[in-house]
Amino acid sequence: MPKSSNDDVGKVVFEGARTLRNAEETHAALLSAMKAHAVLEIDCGALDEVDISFVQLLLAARKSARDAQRVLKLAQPVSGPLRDTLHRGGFLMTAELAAGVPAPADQTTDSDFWLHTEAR
Amino acid sequence: MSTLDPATIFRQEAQELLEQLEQALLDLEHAPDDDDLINSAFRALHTVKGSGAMFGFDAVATFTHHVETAFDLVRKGKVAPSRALIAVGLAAKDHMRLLIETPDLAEAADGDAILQSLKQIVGGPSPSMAAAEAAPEPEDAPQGTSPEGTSTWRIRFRLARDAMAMGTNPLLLLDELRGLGVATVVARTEGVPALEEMAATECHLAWDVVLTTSQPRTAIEEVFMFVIDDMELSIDAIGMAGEGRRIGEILVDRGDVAQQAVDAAVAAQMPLGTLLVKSGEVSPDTLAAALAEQQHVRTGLGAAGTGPSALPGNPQGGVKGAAKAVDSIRVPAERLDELMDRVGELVIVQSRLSQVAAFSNDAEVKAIAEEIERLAHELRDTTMGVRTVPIGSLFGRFRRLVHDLANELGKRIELVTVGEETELDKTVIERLNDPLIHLIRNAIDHGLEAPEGRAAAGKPAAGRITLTACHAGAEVMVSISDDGRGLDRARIQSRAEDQGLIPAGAKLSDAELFQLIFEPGFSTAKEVTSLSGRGVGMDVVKRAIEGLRGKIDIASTPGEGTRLTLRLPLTLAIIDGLLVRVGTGRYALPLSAVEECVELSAEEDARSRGRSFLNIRGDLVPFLRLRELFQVTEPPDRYQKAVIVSFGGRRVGLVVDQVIGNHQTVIKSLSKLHADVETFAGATILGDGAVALILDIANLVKLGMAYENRFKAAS
Repeated sequence: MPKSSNDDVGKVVFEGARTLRNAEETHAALLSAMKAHAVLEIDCGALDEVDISFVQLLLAARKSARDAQRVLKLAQPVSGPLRDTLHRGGFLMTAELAAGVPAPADQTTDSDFWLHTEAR
Repeated sequence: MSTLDPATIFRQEAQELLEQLEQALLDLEHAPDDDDLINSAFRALHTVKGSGAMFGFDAVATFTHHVETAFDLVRKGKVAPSRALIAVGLAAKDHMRLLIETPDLAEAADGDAILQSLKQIVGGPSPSMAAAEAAPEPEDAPQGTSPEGTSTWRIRFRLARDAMAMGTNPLLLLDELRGLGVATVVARTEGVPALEEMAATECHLAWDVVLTTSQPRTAIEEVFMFVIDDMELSIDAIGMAGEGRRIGEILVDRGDVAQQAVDAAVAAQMPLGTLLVKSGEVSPDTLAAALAEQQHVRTGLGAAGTGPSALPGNPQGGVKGAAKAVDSIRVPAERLDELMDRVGELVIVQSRLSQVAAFSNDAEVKAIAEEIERLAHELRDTTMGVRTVPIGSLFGRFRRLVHDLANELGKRIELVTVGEETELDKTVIERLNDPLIHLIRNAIDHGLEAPEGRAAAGKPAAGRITLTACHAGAEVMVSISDDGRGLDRARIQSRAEDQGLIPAGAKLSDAELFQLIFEPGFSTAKEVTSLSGRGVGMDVVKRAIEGLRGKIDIASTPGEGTRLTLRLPLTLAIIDGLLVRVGTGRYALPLSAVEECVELSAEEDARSRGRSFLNIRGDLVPFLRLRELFQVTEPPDRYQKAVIVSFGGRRVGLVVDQVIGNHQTVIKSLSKLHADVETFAGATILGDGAVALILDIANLVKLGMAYENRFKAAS
């Protein structure tokens, strides 16, 4: 069950399986957490199963945050099942090749988001 | 500040581009498969055409357009860069230069002839062209078919919105594609909407896959068999043949960007990817996907599935390449000369300041003087650095010379250059051009044997000319060596005796004998060719090199070859000098020529009267009394000093009243009025503002030698 805290910096922790089966729930959790906090941190460290739908939800959340000029970030660089899924889906291939591609001034690239490389 | 005429800017730019074109063409002769070279030649042509049209050089633009068209076919792999094509390309380049620099001299007929032969070479329907036209998009055998029977496909797909909800797992589709061969998978995420607008189970993602597989197209289609309804799918064959495809072509081919946008970006001379992303023509994701394709095709096996670690570097046309582009600005050479002059003045004033500070008791003044001294020296070094250019630009010009000479003489010649990155003052480099041309011609004409001769001597058929440059202390050594027959000692000796340069039967060392070839009118060549053999040249070479305060050494082994080494100063403007006093006058000597300073004892002084030879560790060294030479009337110092200088391996002592010390000497040339004054090479301004003359060591050594010879002849 996703838990969210009420600090200035919001945090959502996703655990266990996050797939199409509970995608609606994930969607709702992200939406409410983003409404509550200007800065939202998502912890994906304890996931043990994810699929494309979850990746897509995170990307959509990222777009929303960007549109609303809020901050959405991962608590730590992707690892484990999420990283594997990103690899299989070809998301990190983009990230790797996009390294060095100049990002539009107002946003970080997906690679920065997944891999915590925005400081570069 | 003067504004530069745009036409002048174009001429300068075109000159560089034409050089680039020539280099690329010459290199292509040895590496016809090198796509970078073909691209480099094409880019040069393209830019000359574009800027030619822009600056009103219409004839240039029109002519270049035809040449560019021909090379476009080469670039696209439809025509092979044959020797004939390269030869015509070089002729075209020469014609373009004429059109740009002296349009009045350019014959339209010549240009037409060049274009005609170009047309003959590329125009005929070559087999590869016919094939490409006959089968534009073969179904199961794309042009990318390699000998092993694999082909490369670009698969782009977007699933139906409800595909995931209907139970399709895109990851499994991707895995299936991977199972067919080597795949590079890139997800396209730009279609993903904001969270609020998206239903959790909809699929908004798309994928680009580049797949190299031995399976037929139908195998790929089968992967999508169950999801094909309502999805977008395109499967295109892409050629592995175009391995060196540039990112712009890939983007256009993929339909990601319009050709015009690519052309505009190319014209702006910026890394294409960077530019297109900046201008919003493509999104970073689109670019990355295209880069992935380029990467996949280039490596020939893709890097997919193995994760990012398997990706070598960033592809060309990619964006990290941006760091490689060095910013540079074009500055007229005169302005650099002016700067050097100013720095020279500054160094002079600084040394005056140092002198004043040395006599001051004010510690603060001393500290400031020291600081300024350090800064002035750094500024001097930096300025000298600005004026230096790599000698490679000079070496590059000789490749064409060697190429043409080889054809003319029917010899096969290989030019090897080493140390092109060695930097040298621009003026020195320019003034080296003619002497080096002479020396290379000589080496090719006299040094290298004809092919039969080489075969008889058991040497490889192709003669080898090696140009080497390297730094050695404050000097740069430039050497020209050949692997030819070597200098003929006996012939030089007999010739020199015939011409009365040396007494009959004189015993000379190799170094001394070989120096004779630099005497005016000296030639041992049996026949005169159009290139050399008329005895003009070597003395000119020697004078030119000495004019640069350089020296020439010759080493030669019969049957193995000859090596001429030019030793040149790094810069012409400032030297380390040794300041001496003769009477009340002060003179500067180039420190590089000074070997040692010895005291001329009263006894030695008295003993040597009339003979003027010093005993330096057993060697007799002639010396000149500068007091006598300069007709100084003041009484001499009690202890006379002798400064031993050397030039061309010969030593001479210069007797002076006092050795003052090291001095940063900024050389000011003497006025034309004093052009025939041989003893002095120039003048410099001292710390106290006085002028000191700079001694011409070459001349003084010659004087000393004449003295020695007279003495030898008399005894």
